[in-house]
Amino acid sequence: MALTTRLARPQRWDRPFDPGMTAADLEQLKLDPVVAAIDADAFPGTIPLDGILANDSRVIHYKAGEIVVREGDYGNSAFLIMSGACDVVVNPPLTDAQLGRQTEAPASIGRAISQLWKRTVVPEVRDVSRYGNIAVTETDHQAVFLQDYGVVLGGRSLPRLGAQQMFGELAALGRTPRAASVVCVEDAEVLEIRWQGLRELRRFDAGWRRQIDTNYRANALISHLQDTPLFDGLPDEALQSIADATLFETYGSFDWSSSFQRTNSDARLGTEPVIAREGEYPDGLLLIRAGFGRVSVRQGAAERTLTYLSAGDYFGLSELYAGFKGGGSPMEATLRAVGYVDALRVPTKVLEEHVFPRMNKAPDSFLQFAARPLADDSLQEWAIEERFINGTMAMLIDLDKCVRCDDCVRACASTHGGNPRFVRHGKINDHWMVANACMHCSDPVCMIGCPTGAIHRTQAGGSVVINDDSCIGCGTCANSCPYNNIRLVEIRDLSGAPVQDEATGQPIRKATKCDLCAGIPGGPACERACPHGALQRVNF
Amino acid sequence: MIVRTVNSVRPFGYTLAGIGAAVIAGLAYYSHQEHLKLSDATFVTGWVLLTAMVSLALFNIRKRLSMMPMGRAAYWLALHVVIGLFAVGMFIVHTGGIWATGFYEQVMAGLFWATALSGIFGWLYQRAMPRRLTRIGYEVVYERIPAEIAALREEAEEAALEGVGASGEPTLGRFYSETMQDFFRRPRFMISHLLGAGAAQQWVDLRFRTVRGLVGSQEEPALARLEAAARRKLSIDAHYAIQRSLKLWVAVHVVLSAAMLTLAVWHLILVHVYAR
Repeated sequence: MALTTRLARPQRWDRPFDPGMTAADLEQLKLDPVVAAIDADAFPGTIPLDGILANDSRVIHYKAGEIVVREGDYGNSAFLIMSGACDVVVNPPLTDAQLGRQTEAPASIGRAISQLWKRTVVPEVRDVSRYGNIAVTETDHQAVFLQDYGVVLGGRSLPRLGAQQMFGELAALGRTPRAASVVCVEDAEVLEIRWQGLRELRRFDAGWRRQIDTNYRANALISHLQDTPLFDGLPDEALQSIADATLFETYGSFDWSSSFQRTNSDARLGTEPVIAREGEYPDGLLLIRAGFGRVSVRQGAAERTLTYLSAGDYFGLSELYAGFKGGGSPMEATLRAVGYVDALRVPTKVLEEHVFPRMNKAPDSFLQFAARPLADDSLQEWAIEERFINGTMAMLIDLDKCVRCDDCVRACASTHGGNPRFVRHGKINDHWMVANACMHCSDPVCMIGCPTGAIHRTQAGGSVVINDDSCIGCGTCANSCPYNNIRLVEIRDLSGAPVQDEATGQPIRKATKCDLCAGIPGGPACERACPHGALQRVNF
Repeated sequence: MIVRTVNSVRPFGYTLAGIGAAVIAGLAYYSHQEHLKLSDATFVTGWVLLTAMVSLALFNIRKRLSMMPMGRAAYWLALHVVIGLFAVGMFIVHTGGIWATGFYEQVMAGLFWATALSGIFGWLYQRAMPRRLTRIGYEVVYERIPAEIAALREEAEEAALEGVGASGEPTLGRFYSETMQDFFRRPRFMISHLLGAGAAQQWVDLRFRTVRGLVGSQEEPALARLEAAARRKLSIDAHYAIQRSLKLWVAVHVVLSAAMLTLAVWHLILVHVYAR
């Protein structure tokens, strides 16, 4: 048995998006007017424009009727139409059957049983022969056609995208589901750019940055407003007039995790940017588009948190409505950005014109939360301070029921080849512990810096998973995770020998974390294994 | 705020308990009727009892096959508890009392009651002890305890040396080597921690109160550091005592069950052989 296995250390562009792209293809691509307009000199030497185009993009030829993106899918790339045309199908959306939506590889009993012999005594064993030889499957292009698209889309007035127009960039950059389906209505040549490349293009090229911001107003705002219950039933003209008047605002830092990790929990409230302050008069309705906001009121010499807001919630409605009914009404509470908040501000005037006349009762005030006993704030306060509100599948352990038997850890290990993917340890409030297991956040900041896109959301379900094949072990995700729920492990080959970089002799590492037991029927094994019902996966 | 919670298993447990009680009542009645007819119902009740005991053992197998979609372990535990209580009832119906005649059967009965009582004890113990662990106010994974104690021992030694270095006086060094060294060497005051008594706390309080009167201002920071390490050690010791007892209980229960099941199978073979 070899004592060690040596590999070339994985690098960012080891796996081009399109391994078949040639130098000639690249030159051809650079002739596209949108690409040609990019200032290559603005890019640093370590991330040249040619490198981005050659490795983070690919050209796909779509046939008429082929679906490019499907509403509701989590996507990791944006699209630029080079030739041809596509329709944006928003309202009413296409059905799952029309979209040819496939569920993820079904959970299989066989896969569960195979864990019996896949368990190894040596930790973190990998078949290293796979690395460098297989495609990145989650981004493979698989043609899905909208059957009878002429009939299905015929008669509908749909926004059409033509050459040199871009779409999908907001979902890719914002880590949100696709807001609409896009279907090619004629044969089209489309440049697909994975989000790591898109991020660099937006960062270094002013034109792309401007275009992406403009596209948001043009493409996504109406659909966001349509999804807001407050605007249910409004005629298209009213919605358009609201959209035209709406302002975009961003508070805090998009990459909030680094400052979060540096700040003491007691001092966090003071560092959160104020969006609207108690006692001041409201300047429009604030709709939260992304991120989290903290609603608080003055309580003695301090601030008391009443609740928090997330995407789709709004702030200031009761005060604005009270003002509409009978004179000015100052803000009853303060709204702060927890980390960062992307907000839309709808001016009072358009609300008074289109929304308030249709309302027949006053909206609820946040002050209703102030009625609860002060001492009952503890759990919520803790969840906000520690940003657990971000978790959609946080591992919450009731320590008053937990006998510390570690059946959960063993169950996790037994479903992951003998390697547990969480630590039964974490932050505690009273008798609740949030263990160090991936929470599958609604805002997964771990994905921000990943150079290869190895960490991504699954298309169906949106859980955050790591593709072991394309992970280069850089540790960016682990460093970005504010909760320390991603671990880097040194891998071994099938014989158990440590795998090392052939150039430096340093160990090859891979990022690992909870994957919610993907592919195993019955849901997360940890939760199923707890005999005392002490462990739950919860959405805060 | 938490929008998803696991369903309680209580309704499931109560339903099972109702079914189990009805089955016992039915079999007791059947056994009594057979007795009146001068017939023997022990073959039927014996088989039911053995089936129940094998079902109880399946819980341990489910734990080892946790990658399989075999339902939530909480339901299995509820099933285990109810079947365990059912087995007690069946044992009484089967033997016609709480004890047995014949040496082999008495050994088996002894093992049965030891297993049953250890199960009942464990069920209650597992409901009481987690709260005790939580109230310690510090969490530690059992396997990490030796490493934590080693780290504390190092911290305590450094504190003692710091005190000696800062003042030039041997007081803290002597206190550590005479009194605290052994305290930091291994888990201490197991019984006190298990019973929730305050002996360990009192022991530490007294020693530090005494030494505090002997140190000068230069040694105080080191003494505070040493005391903090000692108090953390108390927490770890309490965890060790309680977590170890929880693990020990499971081991005892499993060993007793395995022994009883082995004897029961042999008993079944003998009974069938001699019944011919």
